[in-house]
Amino acid sequence: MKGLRNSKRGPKIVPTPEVTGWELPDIEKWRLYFPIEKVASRRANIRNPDTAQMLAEAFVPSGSRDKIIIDVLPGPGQLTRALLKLPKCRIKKIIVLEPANTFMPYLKSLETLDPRVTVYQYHGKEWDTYRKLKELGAFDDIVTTDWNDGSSIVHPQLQFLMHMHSSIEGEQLLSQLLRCVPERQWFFQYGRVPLNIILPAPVWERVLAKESTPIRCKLGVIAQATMEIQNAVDPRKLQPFEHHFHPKPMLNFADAALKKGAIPHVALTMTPWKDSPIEQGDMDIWDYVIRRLFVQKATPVKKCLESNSLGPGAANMIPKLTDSSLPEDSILDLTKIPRNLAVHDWKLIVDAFKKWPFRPSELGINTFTERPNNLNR
Amino acid sequence: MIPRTGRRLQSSTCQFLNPTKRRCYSTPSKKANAAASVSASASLSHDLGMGFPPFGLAQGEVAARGGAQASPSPFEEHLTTILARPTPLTFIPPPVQGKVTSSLGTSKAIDPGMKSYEAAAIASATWYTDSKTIDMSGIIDACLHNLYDVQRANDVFKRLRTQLVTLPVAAPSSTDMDSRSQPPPSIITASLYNSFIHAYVGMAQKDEFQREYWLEQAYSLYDVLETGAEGVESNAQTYAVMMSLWWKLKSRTIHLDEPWNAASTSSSPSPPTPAQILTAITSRGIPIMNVISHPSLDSPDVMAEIAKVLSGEAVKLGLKHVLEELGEAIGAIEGLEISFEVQEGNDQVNMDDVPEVRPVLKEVKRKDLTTSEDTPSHVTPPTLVNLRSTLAKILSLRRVLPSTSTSDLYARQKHIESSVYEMAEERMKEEAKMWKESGLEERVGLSALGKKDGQLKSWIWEWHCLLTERIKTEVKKLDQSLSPTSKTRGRASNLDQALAPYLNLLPASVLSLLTILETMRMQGSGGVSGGMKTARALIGVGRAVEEEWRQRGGGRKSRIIEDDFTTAMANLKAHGESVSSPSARASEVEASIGLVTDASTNPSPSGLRWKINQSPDDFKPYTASWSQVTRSQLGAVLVEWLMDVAKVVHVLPDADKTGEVVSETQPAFYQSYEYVRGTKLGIIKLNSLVIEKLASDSLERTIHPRHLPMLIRPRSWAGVRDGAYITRSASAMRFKSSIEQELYLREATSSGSCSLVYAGLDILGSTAWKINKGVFETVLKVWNDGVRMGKVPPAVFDVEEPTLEETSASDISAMEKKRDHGIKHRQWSQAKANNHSDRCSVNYKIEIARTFLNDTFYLPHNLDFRGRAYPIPPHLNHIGDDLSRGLMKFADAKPLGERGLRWLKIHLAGLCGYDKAMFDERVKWVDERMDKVRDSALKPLDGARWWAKADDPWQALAACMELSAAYELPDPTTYESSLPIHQDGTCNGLQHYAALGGDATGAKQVNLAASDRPSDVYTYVALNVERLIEEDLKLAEVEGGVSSLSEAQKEKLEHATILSGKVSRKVVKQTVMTTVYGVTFVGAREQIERQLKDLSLKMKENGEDGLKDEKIWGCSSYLAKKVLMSIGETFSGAKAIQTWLNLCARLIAKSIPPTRLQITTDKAGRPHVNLPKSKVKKEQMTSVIWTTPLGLPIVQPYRKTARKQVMTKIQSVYISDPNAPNEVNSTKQASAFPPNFIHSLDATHMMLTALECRNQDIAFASVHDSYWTHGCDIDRMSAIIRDTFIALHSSDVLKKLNTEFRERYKGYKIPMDNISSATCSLVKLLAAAGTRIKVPRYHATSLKPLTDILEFTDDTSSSAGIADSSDVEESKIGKEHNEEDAFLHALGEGEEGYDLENDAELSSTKLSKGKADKPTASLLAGKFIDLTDLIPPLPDKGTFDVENIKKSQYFFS
Repeated sequence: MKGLRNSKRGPKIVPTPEVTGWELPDIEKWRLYFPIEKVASRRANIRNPDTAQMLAEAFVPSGSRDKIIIDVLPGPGQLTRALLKLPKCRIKKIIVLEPANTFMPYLKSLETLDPRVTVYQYHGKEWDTYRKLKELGAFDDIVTTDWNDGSSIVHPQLQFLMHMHSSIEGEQLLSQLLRCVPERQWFFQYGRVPLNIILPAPVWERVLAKESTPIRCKLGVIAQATMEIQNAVDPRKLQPFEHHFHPKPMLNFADAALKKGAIPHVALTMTPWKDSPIEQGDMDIWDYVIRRLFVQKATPVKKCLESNSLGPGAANMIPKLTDSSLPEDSILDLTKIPRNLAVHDWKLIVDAFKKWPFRPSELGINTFTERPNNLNR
Repeated sequence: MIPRTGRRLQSSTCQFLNPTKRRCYSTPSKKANAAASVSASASLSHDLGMGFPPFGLAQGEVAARGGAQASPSPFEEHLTTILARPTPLTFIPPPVQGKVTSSLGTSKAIDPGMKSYEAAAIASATWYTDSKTIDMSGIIDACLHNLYDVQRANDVFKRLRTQLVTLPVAAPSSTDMDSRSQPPPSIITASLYNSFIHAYVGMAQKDEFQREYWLEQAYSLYDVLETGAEGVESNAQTYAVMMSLWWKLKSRTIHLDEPWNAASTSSSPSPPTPAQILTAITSRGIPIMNVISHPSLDSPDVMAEIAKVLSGEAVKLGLKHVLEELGEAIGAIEGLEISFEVQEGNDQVNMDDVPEVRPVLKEVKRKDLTTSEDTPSHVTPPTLVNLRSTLAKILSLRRVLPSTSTSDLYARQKHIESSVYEMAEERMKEEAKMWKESGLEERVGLSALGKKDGQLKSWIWEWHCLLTERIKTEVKKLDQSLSPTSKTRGRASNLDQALAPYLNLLPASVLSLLTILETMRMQGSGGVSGGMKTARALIGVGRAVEEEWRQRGGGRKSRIIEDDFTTAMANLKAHGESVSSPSARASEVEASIGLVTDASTNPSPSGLRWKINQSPDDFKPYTASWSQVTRSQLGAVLVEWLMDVAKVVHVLPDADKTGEVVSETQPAFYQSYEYVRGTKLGIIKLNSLVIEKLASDSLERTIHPRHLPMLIRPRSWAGVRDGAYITRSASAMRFKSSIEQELYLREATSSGSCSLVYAGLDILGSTAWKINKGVFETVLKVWNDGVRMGKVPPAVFDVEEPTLEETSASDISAMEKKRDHGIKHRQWSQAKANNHSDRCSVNYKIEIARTFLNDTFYLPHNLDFRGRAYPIPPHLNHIGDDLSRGLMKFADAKPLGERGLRWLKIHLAGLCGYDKAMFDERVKWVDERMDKVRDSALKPLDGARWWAKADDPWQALAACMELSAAYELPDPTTYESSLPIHQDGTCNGLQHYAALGGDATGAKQVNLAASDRPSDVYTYVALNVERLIEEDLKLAEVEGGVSSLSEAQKEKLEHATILSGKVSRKVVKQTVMTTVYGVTFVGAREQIERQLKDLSLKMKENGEDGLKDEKIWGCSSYLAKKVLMSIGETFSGAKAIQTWLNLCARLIAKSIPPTRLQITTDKAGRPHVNLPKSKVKKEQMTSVIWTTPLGLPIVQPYRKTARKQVMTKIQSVYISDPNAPNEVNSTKQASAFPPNFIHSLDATHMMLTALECRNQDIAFASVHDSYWTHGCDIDRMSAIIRDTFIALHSSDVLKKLNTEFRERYKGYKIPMDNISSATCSLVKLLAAAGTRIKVPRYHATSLKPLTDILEFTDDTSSSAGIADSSDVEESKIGKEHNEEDAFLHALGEGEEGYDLENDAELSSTKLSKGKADKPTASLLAGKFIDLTDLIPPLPDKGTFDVENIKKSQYFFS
């Protein structure tokens, strides 16, 4: 099909940006102005200005003061515009991170119109970005609050806002951000910084999935162990997709699979727990334990341990987990299957694992020395 | 001796040519700016006319050769005869998918088309046995063993017979079928029937209550064989079994209440009388000796008894010749009786009296010296004890059959092969005892971290004891639950029931050891570090059980004697050849070569090998192969039990830094799952403690003999699975799970058309090797020191573990650092894992070298499916890495002579990377470094270690030692050298292409044409590319200023500017090399991208600006285009051939055999295809098959894979069933064909060279395109290499291939929409390649999409084979539907939503455009065309004449 695409389609003609400052092109013509290029594919951005206003109000409600917003992957900037339209006292500055060329003119124009906006053509998924920004002094005015200080519930200034990639890449980034929480890394070094994420519904479902549900997975366990998670707005208010988001799917495709961009999206606000069950420095262990046990997500934990899921000799942990001399809430019901374990249960396993002298030292994913090309053979 | 003038000339030209000295090294990273070498080679070529000796031959020899050219030597005649004969072709119908039985009974329409369709399916079923049937025969085999469950075997046998035997009856006499093919040897064989008769007799003896029932069964089955009712007939074994039954009845071993003849009164079949049997034997022309001496007769008593009875009958019947033969036989048997007494009565043969056993003793002693000092020297070597009993047997045997084995080596070899597990067990038992006595066991057990050698062995012993017990218990339980008297019968699961007979095949101790050793051996396979994929492990263990069982001859007792007896008798009687006698093999090889001359006069081959193949399979015991399912399930129970019992104790001396010693019992092997790219993959892992030991402990006796070299010359290949090892089965070809390949090879073997290939394999296997002791000592020292040296990995991984930089919480980039650390750490731990596995593999090599230190050994060879030869022992062989090669040398030594000394030096220079210079320069280069050579040889580790810096250090060390030893002598030329000297093809693939295509420029660059300096095609291409870049740089000037350039041109200019002066040999090397393998543009771009990144890094290291990262992609794309263009220009003929090969393969892979098309003829006499459209895809089963000039059929195995889920005890695994072929993978078939074809050619060239080297009595070994011999023989081998290459390429290889395709695929048809459709423009390529089909003019519109290749004719007789299908209407609709789907799909499914970029409007126009195309495309739907009409004409050949190669000294160098 490659040949067909090249020979029969002319070069892409993108209209020259009609940059008029605040105004974005007619939202019905966004597909023309913002064609899906590689760098901006698999992304959904707020298109409808009313929706944007609703979300802005939800993310930065009245009573907020002098917020510093890190605005990642805003696309053409509909939501950014809505934020700027909020009463000025609520927001002190907005740092926009957007890598795609297509959107640049429409974002850069904001920079000239409102001094609170700074646009960087960087990608929010690169750790490098934050180092560069710090070197540029972009975070100099952020105060550091004591994580455990009862007086500050969440970080008073900083708020991280992201239109999440609907690909595996987006999910990876989210899980990496979550992993920073217990280690107090990244923005969490400044305190309990809330995340506002606009994300595809399937990921949202998994993030919120409670124990004993079929879609319970590692992402959900870690998210719930690190963050208090709430819907920013009623998810129904963001449906249907084509009404609120860009890119509007091509309706003449009857096949549902072809409406690839049309995955429903929702918005979440996630705030780090004050006391996460994951202790600082334990993230790798949590990661390993959850990953290994979820491989056999429907097998009783006892059997998992007996079959050496956590390393050879893992069965030796069983007596430690079921020691009857322990208080009741420290005894694990080993008949539970990994999918049905609550965060508390996970903590019991992790603690036992930490105390196991023979636990594997290599916790990474290192099984394959080469790319296996013949699965299951 | 080189004449003085010649030498002077050489040295003067050498000085003249010296400006490019650095180019003489193969330092690939050097920038290739030396245009001088290319032009110089051109300017000096005229010197060749001035008596410059071709490839350095002495003057006299040149003259001799000149004469030889005038009148070709005998072998050249041979060569021409072999290569000129019409290639003997093998035909087998392609496999058919799915069930055969479908509409057999209900064939409503008696349609000839339908009939042949069914016939083809049936034919396919008789050729290709499916897994279910294989399983049935497997279970029969297992149940019959020791009469385990004869009733069950009988039930399965009945089903098998109704299923298979009725097939040919139901099949119509298939005239349409390929009449050239013979009915294949299916699973239904006489030996299967015989083994049932044998079992019935056994049951009659055992089961006194049902004696008559079993006897009746035996009689009736004998009747079936006698009448041939089921297509199988009696053979010697049948009669032997019947005679033994007769004897048992007579001697009352089987006691019947009623007398022997009374059975005939019943209605059932009656027992045959000896007279009847004798009549039957003579009427079938079976030699009576084959019956009398058959191994199924238990003892000489019986033999004699039967012989007597038969001779009595013979007298009555007046069969004089039988009497004569029997007279001899009785004499021989009487001799046997005595010897049997010796064996049974006197187990303690006094070893000291038997001088032949010495080598065994010596070996044992030597082992003691080299193993660790832990072994007390006074202990009798454990191997000796268990050797004795076996040796006693062998000795007694020797008395019986003095001609069988005159050498102990034969006995030793046989012993190694036959009792590997017993030997290992015995030895470990001894060692375990020793440890216990010395208190070592406790020490070993306690200090798990200790470095004691032997830890691994003590573990294995421990596991082995436990596992043996476990297997015994489990099997007993299973048998009890299955026994008819048991109350628990039926409790065992179906799976267990199915496996029970298999578990009874081998002793528990053998099953146990086999499971342990196989599991450990597979560690690290499949890219799993410290483990293996479960499916692979299970199948591996299952297969090992199968092989062991097969090797034990299906479980017959005292098989060593029987086997020898059988073989010897068979050989003595049939061929008068003894298995091991080297002279006999040599004569056989000669016979095979002689066969060639026969072939010219007599088309039916008459070689000895052919005779062997024709010998009746009376002597081959019945054994069935097992299916993958059975293997994996059997493997699973064994591995499960192993995982259950095998434990190690993990001890931490100081956990938690409290000084407390904690310990824990952990499994040694465990099952685990990993997610790999979203797929859950089962893995069996080894405990890290075990892995550690595997890399350091001695592996003695854990290596299976099929992984060891042989002590005697490998047995000649007599058949596909008959050759190499004496008793172990080996396969002559490594089939890529393709049953078709095996069938073709079998057919070709039995027709004798590929005898020469087997002869070649025998020659390669007959090359004798020795361990290079000097190198071995050095390697051992390095190994024991545990340091990294010359590619020997260190004992402890010597790269420091990357540490994570301490970061403060306030560091925003902590995550970045952590990520970088993660990447680094992952690389590090992978390097560590690799170090481990390298260490393991070196350990194996050293262990084997140690074992064979004082022996001459041989490497049996087999072929890959393209005909390339490989040594079978995987660990230590000459094809292996530098270390393996350095450790080996020829067993025979020959005086170097003047020329040999010179070649030795050239060889050393090459190993050091100085291989681009002229030969004289290389000699001089070494001469200048003689002090370093001596230092390396005398003080390899304590000296300057000059050798260690060489490209191939160990081989360089070996060469240094050889050279230095030679110069110790007053006259170095008299030195007896055994070091193999290499002659390597320079880019051999391209050499073959250039010769095929007659590319003059290309030929020169790959040294086909004469030149006094080696050419280097990589440098040539690099320079060429630089020239193209220079042209692009001038773009701006040409077009009049940068501003007037188009965007594309500007880009070009930019890339040219960046790359100018940076294109080195290294950048283009991989791409040029892989051209032969059909590298695509994308592949080439990626290769070049890697090289540019490397280059950029190097530049940065040197403080220059590297290439900008964002430019590399564009640059590599630009450069790839230039490189491919340059190669295309240089090898234009080759390019055309590659295209032709590719197109042929594409066509073949789409074709359907005529028997499956259900062709009928309509009223107008036009053929009509009745194959439903929906089935077309499933019928595209045709592989690309061709025959090499030596007659080897080559079948490309690439098919679509379908995996089946198999439940095993451990997990369910997905395995593909090689017995159920799917449609071909046409892409793979096409892209792989050109390289495979070239490989089949280089394999042929190698084989021809091997044959001729044997003819001239030159030692020969090869690594594909690197040919080895003694230094003094290099000149002669060089001449042979050239002669064979020329002969090969003068034999119209391509023309023959073309003819073969047209013959092989005659009548095959291709669906026309496969060559031209919206998604496929094959027709354009065909048109460009010159394909033209002749059709009557009225086809002009209906075949419009094919216009490019149409040629109109009015002569209907010459028009192409076009056929319509009745399914056209239906298919048109289907087609439209499909196409729309495909189109939408393509629009929607592009990468990363790329295709969604345009708005709806744009897409809809696209859609309508697609619709507009459709009518023309669907014109072709349902139409078929003959494959042979579409094959393009062969491309024209260039001007290069292969005869020129004779003058090229650097062709192979």
